[in-house]
Amino acid sequence: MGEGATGRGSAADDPRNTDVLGPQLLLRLSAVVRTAKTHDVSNQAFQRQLQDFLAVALMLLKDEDEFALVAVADYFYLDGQRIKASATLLPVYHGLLGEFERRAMGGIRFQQGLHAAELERFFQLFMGAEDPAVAELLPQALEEARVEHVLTVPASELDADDLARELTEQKEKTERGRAKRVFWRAVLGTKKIMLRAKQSGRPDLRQAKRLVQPVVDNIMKHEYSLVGLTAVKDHDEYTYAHCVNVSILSVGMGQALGMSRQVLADLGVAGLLHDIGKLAVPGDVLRKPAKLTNEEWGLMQRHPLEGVKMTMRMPGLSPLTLDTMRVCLEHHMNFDHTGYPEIQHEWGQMTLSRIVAVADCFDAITAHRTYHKRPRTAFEALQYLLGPTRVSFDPAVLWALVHTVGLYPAGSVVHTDSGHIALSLSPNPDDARRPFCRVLVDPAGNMPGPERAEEWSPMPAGINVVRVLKPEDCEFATAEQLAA
Amino acid sequence: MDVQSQETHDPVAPGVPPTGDAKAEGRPNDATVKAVAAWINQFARTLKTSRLYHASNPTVVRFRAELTGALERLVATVGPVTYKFTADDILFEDVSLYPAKSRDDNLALPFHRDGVRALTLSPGITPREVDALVDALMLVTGQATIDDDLVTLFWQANLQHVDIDYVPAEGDVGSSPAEEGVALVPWPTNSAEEAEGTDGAGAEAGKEDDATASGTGSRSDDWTTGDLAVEIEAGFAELDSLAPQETARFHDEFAAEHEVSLMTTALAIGHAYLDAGANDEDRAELARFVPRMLRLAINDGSWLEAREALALLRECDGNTWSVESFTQELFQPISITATVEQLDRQSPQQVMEFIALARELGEPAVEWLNLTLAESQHRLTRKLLAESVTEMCRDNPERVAPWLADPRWYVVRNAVQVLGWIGGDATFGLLRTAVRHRDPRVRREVVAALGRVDPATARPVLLELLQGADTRLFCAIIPQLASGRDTPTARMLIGYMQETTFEQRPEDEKRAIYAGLAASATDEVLPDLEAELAKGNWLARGADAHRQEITRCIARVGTVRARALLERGAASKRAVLRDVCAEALKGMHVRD
Repeated sequence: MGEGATGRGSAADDPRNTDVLGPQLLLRLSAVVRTAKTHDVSNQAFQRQLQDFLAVALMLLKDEDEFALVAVADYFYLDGQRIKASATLLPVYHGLLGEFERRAMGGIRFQQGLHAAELERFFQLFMGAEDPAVAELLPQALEEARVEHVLTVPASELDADDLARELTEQKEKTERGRAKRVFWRAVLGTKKIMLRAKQSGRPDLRQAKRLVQPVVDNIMKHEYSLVGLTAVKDHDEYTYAHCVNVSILSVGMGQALGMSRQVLADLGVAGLLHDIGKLAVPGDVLRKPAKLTNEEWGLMQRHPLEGVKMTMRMPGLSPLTLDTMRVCLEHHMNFDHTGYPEIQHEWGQMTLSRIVAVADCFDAITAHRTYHKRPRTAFEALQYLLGPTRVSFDPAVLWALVHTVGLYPAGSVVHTDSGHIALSLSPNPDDARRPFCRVLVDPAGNMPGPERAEEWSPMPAGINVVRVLKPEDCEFATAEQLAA
Repeated sequence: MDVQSQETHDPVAPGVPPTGDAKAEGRPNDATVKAVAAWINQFARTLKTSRLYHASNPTVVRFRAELTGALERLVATVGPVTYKFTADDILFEDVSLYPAKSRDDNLALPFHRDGVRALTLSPGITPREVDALVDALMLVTGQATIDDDLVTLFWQANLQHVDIDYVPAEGDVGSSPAEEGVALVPWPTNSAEEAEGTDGAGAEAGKEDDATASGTGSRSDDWTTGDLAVEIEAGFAELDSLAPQETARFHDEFAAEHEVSLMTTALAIGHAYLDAGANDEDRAELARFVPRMLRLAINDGSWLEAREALALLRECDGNTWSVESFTQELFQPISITATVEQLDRQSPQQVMEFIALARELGEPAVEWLNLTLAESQHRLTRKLLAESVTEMCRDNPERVAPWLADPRWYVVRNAVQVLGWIGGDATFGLLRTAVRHRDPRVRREVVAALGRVDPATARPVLLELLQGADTRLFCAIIPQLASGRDTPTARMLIGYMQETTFEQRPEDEKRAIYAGLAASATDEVLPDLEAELAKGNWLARGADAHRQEITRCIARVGTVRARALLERGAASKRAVLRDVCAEALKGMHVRD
């Protein structure tokens, strides 16, 4: 990467420094930006965040004249070293990437002599530069404000850098790169929808449609990396990712069932909003790790009705509004009418609700839970759904689920008859038994590491899965590998 | 539409700015710019024309066809064309093409406002796609509120030859610090060690409980789970073997669900919602929602469903919804026009359903029916509506009164007709107000209506109406007046006959006079009739016919005296008199 873009950095030669301070820097930066959106720079809350960020920055400047934080091809680099995107850091990562993108910014350079007042002025101007037309003037504004030790690097400058361009082109050529962008935008967008719904009492259907459209486009192009990303669970934004996961899985199943583009879009929206009623369930009930009392369970069971209530407040009355209402109401009813809520007169679970029900159950039971020492894997979830509980679900939809996630869903660590141990990354729509994989261990017992690992796109014919390893039987950081 | 465009032509991270030499090479030539500018101007003109006229108007059709043709030629010549949008301008390769002329004439704004930053039109673009572009712009810039923005409209149109760069609908970085750590929809956190230490036994016991009843046992937030599993490949093999018929069944069910009307579905959801254990607050929410359903049903002319919606509304709430406020909406001219358009297309049974709906609304129904009655162009519809209004106003004809003052003659006529159907002396005062209406059609209707009023009461008004009455009115009034044996009426009619201008009267009027006389003559006027018979002018044309009519009148009197008169005439020396009297005697019946 060009020197002008990233600067020198002996501190960055120390990988521990980047591994430790890089994520901290991003977290602190994210916190400052978030606080600045709702608080004035003179506010105590903002000042606290500012000081925390400054502390990390000063640590990085302790032995160096400057350091550069650069965004290229959906990754952050600190003085040329990539900051790893752990699962927990992902939302922050992608949120910050968005902030940089909005400002047509490639990076920021921080120099020795940096102090709080200057940083405060920088963030004030940074927050005001959300439009690209205004962002173009940011360097000049910083100069006029006498911000001398914080310099912005325009994205265009990075575009001129050969390596940066190569990385960007590579990322954009890969389905996975596109999928990650779509996924995280959807997660962050869902968060916005939920925040607004909490305030206004109703979801923003227009925004929901926009979030779902790229999902449908990806799925219809058989780009199933997006489905693979639904296996990333362990992060703070999982609440919203769950809505997105249900949406993605539903669209995938709808595609497997041959539904049209517009129906897939409606299904995606209904899946995204299926749990909107939980906004009305008391937080301590939702958060409770232990067994729920009957009363608490009753409150939990109200969320379908609450979802209908919220969707009733949406303006207009369209087929999509009604589909969303029905999905909210019915997604726990079960195909065999054993679920909830109970309806006195004869009532059948609608087809779209059946799809969302399977998606919801599959995603929910693989999330981190307290009764289990570890979360259920997606493979175990499939075993459960295809087991005795399958009477609760429509068989056509269960079949579609397997076609969508594969027999060895993303995140499964499989042992093959060729002696390989591989991580399933995403399903293969053409053959449920042969997912797209990354080899973790070759037959000779070598563990090449993620950067050098062989990728199967998909698992070659002639190689078969012998068994799926339980997480306790192996020690691979599968979450990080899935998120990468 | 290619979603990839948002990655390859990122709107917020512009592409590599060309260096000096590259710039010179890359600058479009003037001819290209001109052609590209010409097309966007043509687009703007097509849009304006499409707003002014209906889609099927020949001018609109021609404009759209020309727009497509021009675009096809343009992209065939210069290749894909990218238009970029700022808040007030449309650009091509940084050249301004269509700057905003004013706030109202800013073609770039709807694009920019909805997040569209660039549009690339490629060779192969079809007329359907060009139409979709125009239609989408019309929707977002039109009067009606729509749910979707341009990006969604373009996406739904599935434009294969149009790439759209737009600002993605992503969220902010995060919530405010105050919300950190307190998720909106929090997930139970892993306090596994704690939970196992204290609740381990409970958890084990919980698994044995009824999982569905209380969510005990293994729980996943809102799903009850368990530990049973199955050999997955075998499970899938079984599913796979059943897949063809199961997916076919699924598709059939899906199709059946979507054949049901929107209203039916909405009603069903409303009922299910109530059945699912809705509390008072839930019901109140439904009560706020149902009027929307009611409006939809009325707009669609689905009167039965509208009634069901009304019933649902009453089931969930009695207090907050105001029928008066709602009906004020219904009474607006635009709503009435829409309602009448539906009614005039519908069968009599459907019109009756509409009437039943109106009745459900209670008091405002009369006005609604009258408003639709006034606008309807379909005779049978009007009849049914008028009959219903009659029924509803029978006990209180005063409710029709406001319509008697309507400036539209046909509305007054309808109201008079209703009063006529109601009948009785209670309507007399109201009918009187319409006696001097400027339109003869109204006055004729008043005459007809007075037929249901006591003759003695109606007589003065009828006589008043006779003054200056045209033939139709005259012929309508005479039978009303001559509804029974009445000497004054008979004398009046004889008076008409005795006028020198009697022969010049239209035949219809003469017939009416004769018929009226026949119905009203009494013994008291026999001498006058006899005198009329004996009148001279034997050779006058029509005299025979006149005498014939007189003798028929006398015969219709049917009394002994009348008979005696005819017998005397039959014995007359004058042959013509003798003949007509003899003829009349043949058919005469003497009343007891």
